[in-house]
Amino acid sequence: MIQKQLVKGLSDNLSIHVSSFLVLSLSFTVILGSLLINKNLNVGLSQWGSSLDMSVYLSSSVTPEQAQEVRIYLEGRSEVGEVKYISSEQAIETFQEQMATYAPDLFSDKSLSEVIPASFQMVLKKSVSAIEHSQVMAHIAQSLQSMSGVEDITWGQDWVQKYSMISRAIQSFTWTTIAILILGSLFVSANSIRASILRRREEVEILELVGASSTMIRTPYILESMIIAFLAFVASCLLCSGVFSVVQNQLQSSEDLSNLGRALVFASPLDLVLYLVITVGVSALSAWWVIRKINSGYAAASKGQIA
Amino acid sequence: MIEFSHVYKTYPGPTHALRDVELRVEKGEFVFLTGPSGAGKTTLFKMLSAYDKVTSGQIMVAGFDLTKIQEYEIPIFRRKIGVVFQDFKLLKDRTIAENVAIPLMIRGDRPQSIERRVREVLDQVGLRDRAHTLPEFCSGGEQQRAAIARAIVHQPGILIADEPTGNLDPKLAEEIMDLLERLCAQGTTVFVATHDHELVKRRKKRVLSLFKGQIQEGFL
Ligand SMILES: Nc1ncnc2c1ncn2[C@@H]1O[C@H](COP(=O)(O)OP(=O)(O)O)[C@@H](O)[C@H]1O
Ligand SMILES: [Mg+2]
Repeated sequence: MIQKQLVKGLSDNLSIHVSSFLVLSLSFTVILGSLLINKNLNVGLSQWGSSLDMSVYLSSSVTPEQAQEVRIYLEGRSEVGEVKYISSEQAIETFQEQMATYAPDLFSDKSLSEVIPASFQMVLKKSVSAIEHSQVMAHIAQSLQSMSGVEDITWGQDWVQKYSMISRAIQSFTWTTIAILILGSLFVSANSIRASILRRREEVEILELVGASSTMIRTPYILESMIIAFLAFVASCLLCSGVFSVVQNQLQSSEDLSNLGRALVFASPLDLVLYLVITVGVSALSAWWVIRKINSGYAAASKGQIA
Repeated sequence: MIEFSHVYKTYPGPTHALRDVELRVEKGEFVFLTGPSGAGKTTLFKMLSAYDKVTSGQIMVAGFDLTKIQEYEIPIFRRKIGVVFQDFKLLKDRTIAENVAIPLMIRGDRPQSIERRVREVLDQVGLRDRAHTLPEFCSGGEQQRAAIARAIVHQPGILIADEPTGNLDPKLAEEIMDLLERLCAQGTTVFVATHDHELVKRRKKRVLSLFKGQIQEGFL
């Protein structure tokens, strides 16, 4: 019964369904595209890996207790990933190794230890997004500034801040777009089901009068809109992955950006499943909303009740 | 068993379509409902089939209190009755056979048994050769018989027919009435609305008359 109704519904209103499929495909594509952009905002940031760590230079008169306090503070913060202590001696050694070929006996140990202090090198965890990054870093830097034994703090303030700002702007833009498009998709789904029902109102009434249950009458309509949403979902995935690989190929073949190209990530299977559930679920919900009153047993008697 | 007590139905307007209707039809009875056009026959049948709600009063049909019936019970109730609507209510985009099969499909019968039963019923109403025709290519009389076939295909305990012979020539009308009497003889309660007095007179059955929404009992 339900299958027959479903096939009838899909074929009867083919033009409505095709146009709603096209609109949904387009809007799902933009939604998925926006999600991909958001997902890849972090990739750009992590490409400049070295600029992402923070160096906390300790003063030459720092006591072991003060140094320990700085370490405890850093390790105590949930956003902080690895913390590494580099003693003055290690720093000098590294420096000398690097300089050895250029100027073998440039500095004596004594004078260097005045110039190169001990430090903590710290990076944030990968889970900290590009947008939060500069805020977290700035906050940590501020807290450290007031601690005794801390001489100077450096991190990629400038450009990380800029990147964060741009990321934030992009993100709020994409989320707004997504919200609008989801509302629009809801509306399109609801309207195509409404049109479908209006065309077949008489049929609904008759089925109701000969004893079809609410489920029998409603299910085909809900399935109808879920099928269309599913097809649109598939179309949007294909379109997005097509565009994605084109962009990725282009980045990879360019000299400066090949790293970035390699690092770009497409939606994970889990992302796609979630996305599928949301798009199909939203469509089912909107169909259900439209037809919730279609059959109350007396609906046939009180025409004009269909929302 | 059908029982109306103090049933009123007022349409917006207001039109008092039913006024203090009291009636009782026993299981297995054959009863005519007569009355001029506009008397309220269709309204009474709409109340009887849970098509619409009464304004006040109580209706009991086959153990269901239609004034208190829950939404989910309505389909269950409707599958126990068969209704021939005055305007047939056939689905335009399905053949006569498909239309007649609907109550069985709703009930979830198996395709083979549906096919067998539909053929049987179409034979009974003389529509065998119209089985695969769409309603719009059938005459009024054929559509009426299709509506009757759909109302009896699931062998309901109660058959309600609103002017089932209105579009039939006298000979066909008699045949259909014979069919309804046979169904009654097999135990179905049959309740037929008609304004054809001659037909009612010939059949010598119990008659309820409606006039301006009020009921009068008597044998014609
Ligand atoms: N849906 C409706 N809205 C308003 N008035 C109605 C409606 N249905 C019937 N009526 C009125 O109720 C009265 C009884 O109508 P009906 O039951 O169709 O009579 P019958 O079937 O005996 O010809 C008539 O006056 C009719 O105009
Ligand atoms: Mg009538």
